Amino acid sequence: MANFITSLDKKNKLGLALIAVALIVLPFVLASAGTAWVRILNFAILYVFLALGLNIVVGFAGLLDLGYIAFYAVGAYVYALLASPHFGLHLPFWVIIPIGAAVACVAGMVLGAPTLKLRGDYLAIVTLGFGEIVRVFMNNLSNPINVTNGPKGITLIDSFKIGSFDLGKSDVFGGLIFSGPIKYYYLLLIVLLAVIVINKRLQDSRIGRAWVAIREDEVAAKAAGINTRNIKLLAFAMGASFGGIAGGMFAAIQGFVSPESFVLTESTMILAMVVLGGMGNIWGVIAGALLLSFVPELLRYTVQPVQEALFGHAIIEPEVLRMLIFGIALVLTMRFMPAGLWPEARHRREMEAKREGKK
Amino acid sequence: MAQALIEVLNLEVRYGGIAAVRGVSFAVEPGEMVCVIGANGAGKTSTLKALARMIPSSGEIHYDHLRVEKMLSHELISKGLALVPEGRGVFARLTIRENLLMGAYHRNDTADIDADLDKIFVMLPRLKEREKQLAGTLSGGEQQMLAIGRAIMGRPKLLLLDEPSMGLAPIMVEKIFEVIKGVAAQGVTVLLVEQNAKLALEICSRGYVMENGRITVADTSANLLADSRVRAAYLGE
Repeated sequence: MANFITSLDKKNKLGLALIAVALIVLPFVLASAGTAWVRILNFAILYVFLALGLNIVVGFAGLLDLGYIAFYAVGAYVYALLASPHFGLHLPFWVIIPIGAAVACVAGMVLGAPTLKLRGDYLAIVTLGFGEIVRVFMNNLSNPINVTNGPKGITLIDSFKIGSFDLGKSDVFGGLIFSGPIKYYYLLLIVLLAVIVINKRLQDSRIGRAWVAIREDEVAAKAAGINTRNIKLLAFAMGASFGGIAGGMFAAIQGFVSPESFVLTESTMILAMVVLGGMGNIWGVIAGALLLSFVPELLRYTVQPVQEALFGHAIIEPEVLRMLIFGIALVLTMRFMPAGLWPEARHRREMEAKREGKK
Repeated sequence: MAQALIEVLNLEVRYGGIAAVRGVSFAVEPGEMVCVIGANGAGKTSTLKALARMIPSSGEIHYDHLRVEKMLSHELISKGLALVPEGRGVFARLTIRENLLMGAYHRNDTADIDADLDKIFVMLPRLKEREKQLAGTLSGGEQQMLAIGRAIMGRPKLLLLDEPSMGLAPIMVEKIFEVIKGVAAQGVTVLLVEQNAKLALEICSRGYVMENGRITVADTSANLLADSRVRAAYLGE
């Protein structure tokens, strides 16, 4: 990291400083438009975690996973069960988050191990089933022993606390009001930085190259001495751990979890973030996640007023129209930018080569 | 007969109920260049894949005091057993340099890896010119050269080559065979599987003819090239 900073020239350093300042000021700007927007921002960062985690599995290793939300669910439920009145347990977050990550990691390997020989469509179907199984379990694990409290979910989940400092409550520092969401934002920002650094290091590592090799040609990868079984399992395990960490933070921020938060649509949404942003490229995936989290929210607030201004009243239900516009935008983006908004350099070069080949 | 580098005894490969290789036995001595020729579907590729542990098989495979049939595919390269798979299998989204480095994935002697890389670029200057290009942008022949180069990066004692001439223009096939001869000249033992029987027999000292999962003829290349049945069946006469 130190090398990285010294290697930057003056212009870049200035740019980096500006971005840092903007990120620090951002929640206060958004808070002036309503705390809801800070919450939306926080959830957007959680989606960035999820998209980066799924990117390890799909983008790096090329394993299509349609049930990724299951690991988010596992992380969220581990946190909820260990820090709520449901079982009367109130462990501190720095104990639970690693447990959540570990449990999700094991879940990742449980999914990975039997699917090692599957690829493409077949793998997608099995992972989809896995995601649904986890959700159905959470929905029904209230009988005969009440573990998950079924569809009612678990409420009154503890927020992150360090001593008497509670991230869930408002505080005033130097005349500025730091609401709960703003405090969580800063925590998420720090974690995000760590997650990006880990992802970047992974991508440029020997393991990163091994993932690309497996994605390209498994027989040749084996012949080159790559233990494809372990390296694939590692992709599942690492991706799942990221999902588990995000899930734990989600449970604490939301204060409530129920199976409804972990439906198939969420899995496909995260996959859309990865693909739309640019599979394999960390910055593209981040851009995809932020865009797909914010655009639907922006549409939520604009679709109704625009219709009223044009026609005097709302012709189409805003919720329907919102998803319609969103869907069309997705289709158009993929039609005209098939490699995503910000593709991985290799992927882009390859796509360009294909296009030139056609001409 | 000297101690064989690889000796195969009664190898069988089955796909479901169908036997692709039905009890094949052969041996290759150190420094030899041997080919297996035969028509499509004779079981040549299955034999090679079984030797590289890409598919399950029964029978014994002795290689350099090891029992290969009990090992896993990714363990073989560090023992000096390298496979250049059918259809080349280059990593299209990695650069040529990265592809070659993948061949040295199991090694951690950085300085020696760099030296080997230089040697390969001397041997295959076309790859040097395109060092930073993606492997997917290479022509078929260049990809085959890259696949061979990648295998050499693992410092093999025995190189298994699966149909290196497949889908290539005749001029390119000749170049590839020159490269294979060059590799063998450096002391690497070569087991070559080919449909192009004439070229294979011309560069190898011995050959096996495979038909319906069995080895039917085993002889020196000179004798096979002179054999009227072989000429009729595989040399188009």
